Amino acid sequence: MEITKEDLLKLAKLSALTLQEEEIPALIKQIKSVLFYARSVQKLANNDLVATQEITHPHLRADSVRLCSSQEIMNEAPEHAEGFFVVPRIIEG
Amino acid sequence: MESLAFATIQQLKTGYATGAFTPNDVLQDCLNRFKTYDKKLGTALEIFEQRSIVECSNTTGSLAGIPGIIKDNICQKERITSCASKILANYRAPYDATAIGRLKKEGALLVGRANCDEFAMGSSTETSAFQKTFNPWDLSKVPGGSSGGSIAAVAAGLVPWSLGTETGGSVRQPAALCGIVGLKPTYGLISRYGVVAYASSLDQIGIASRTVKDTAAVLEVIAGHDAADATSLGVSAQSYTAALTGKIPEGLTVGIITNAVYAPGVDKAMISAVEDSIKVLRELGATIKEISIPSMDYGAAVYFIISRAEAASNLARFDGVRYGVRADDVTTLADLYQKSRAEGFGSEVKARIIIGNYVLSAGHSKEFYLNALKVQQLMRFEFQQAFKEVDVVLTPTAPSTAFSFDAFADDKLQMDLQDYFTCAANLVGIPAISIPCGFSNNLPLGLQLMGPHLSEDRLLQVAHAYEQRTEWHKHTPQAFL
Repeated sequence: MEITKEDLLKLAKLSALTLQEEEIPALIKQIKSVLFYARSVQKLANNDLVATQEITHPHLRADSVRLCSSQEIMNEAPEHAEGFFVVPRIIEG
Repeated sequence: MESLAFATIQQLKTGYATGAFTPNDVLQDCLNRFKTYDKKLGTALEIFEQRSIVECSNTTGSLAGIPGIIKDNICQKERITSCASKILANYRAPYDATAIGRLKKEGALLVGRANCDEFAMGSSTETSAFQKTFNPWDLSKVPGGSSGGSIAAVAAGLVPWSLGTETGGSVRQPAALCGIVGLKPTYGLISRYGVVAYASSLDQIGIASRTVKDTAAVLEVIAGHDAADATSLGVSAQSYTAALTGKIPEGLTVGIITNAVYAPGVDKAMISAVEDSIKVLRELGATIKEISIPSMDYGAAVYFIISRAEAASNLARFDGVRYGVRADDVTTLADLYQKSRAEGFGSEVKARIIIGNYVLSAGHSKEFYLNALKVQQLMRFEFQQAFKEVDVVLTPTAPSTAFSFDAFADDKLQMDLQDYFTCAANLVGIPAISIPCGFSNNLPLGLQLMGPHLSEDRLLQVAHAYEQRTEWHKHTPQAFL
């Protein structure tokens, strides 16, 4: 199972993470070993019993709206103003 | 007043009833013990000021005046809930988790926030961004994880009970390594509302204490339906302590999962402790049956995939915008997300997010994620079949006794494989309990019992009967007497 530095950086970008150069070798090693091990699920995947298993999902309650205080939510934000989250400018103009 | 170290919930309640001591005496003693011993042990990220502890809770109820500590990924109103992560270092919970609300209503005294692996990701509590926690039996060993702080505090007699959380064994494995009782209930029995999510389809609050009866007493308070948790089961809490007669249920059959007990890498002392436990269960009147659950051997692989996939989704919410820590000196929104997350998360969390996004990505989701879900379904099927033949099943909780710090620094996969015995119960959604079953080189060993969905009453009854017949739970680490 090959994971290159380019693969890792692409995945990091998808994960909204920047990586320091010195983090990269250990991460590649760790990710490769976990994926290599995890790949063993394939060995069972062709088993007849597995092929007939339907995937079930837990029973969920109705997804109904409940109100809460927006002020309480805003108070947790690192930066907010006039009831909005403050972020760097997104649209130039 | 005699030392109250290592007093059980039941002993404290008796003492209150007879007037031998008061909740104030006990709380003071508990806070003193943290002051004396926790510099060495590192179990707590914070111990609250005495008055604020008392003010949060009722003065009556089934746990009135009984101190406990809460893993730092369960929200306690107006307290910091950091998940032992830098990214939430300053986060104050605006509300109580449902379990916390119920504990306060029943008078429990919540003394602090317990250390854990960052976002509950680890098996040794070493990934905490803030501190190490040490095993009370041997300070050169880890307490296990991820709920290492919650469990070590109970094992050292600083509190009689604690809450941890479980995704793949994070209460049972440290309970085994520290010589106490750890319970993971059926998925959906305890509300997850207010628990910071790691892998939502597997997460569940777990309970640790030094006796089965104390665990049952806490479960009675926090179990039961909660409309605020979408996956909460529509069941009420029972009187779990009432079933604890010291006898096993009539006609009980215990299944020994032989492919797990004799799996490669299980310590000889562990196997021999399991074999001794089987003798005890037989003496108690159980019928013993050897069974095999072959898919369990793939459990850790399934667990790696599903937990990382869900972690990648759940942890996407930490973006430096809505809560937690935000990186300085950012010019674009992408910068803000990436730098806040890169600075806020530790390396284990980053690795799990990246693995999660890999197994969910277009080219790999079939090979990994979808196959893992199928094998998970096969595990459910095989456990269901097993429970047609036997009432409970038995395995070790962990492959060996507690390991040294940095033991797996060069091969983290081996640390992850600590989950082999425990993660099956999370993947199948069934209850499981770890109870002390022996010692090897003065370090505790744990025995795991699992039962069908919502069989907590029977599981606790069997565990209690075993506990009453043995002396293992009476051993305490001498350095903390």
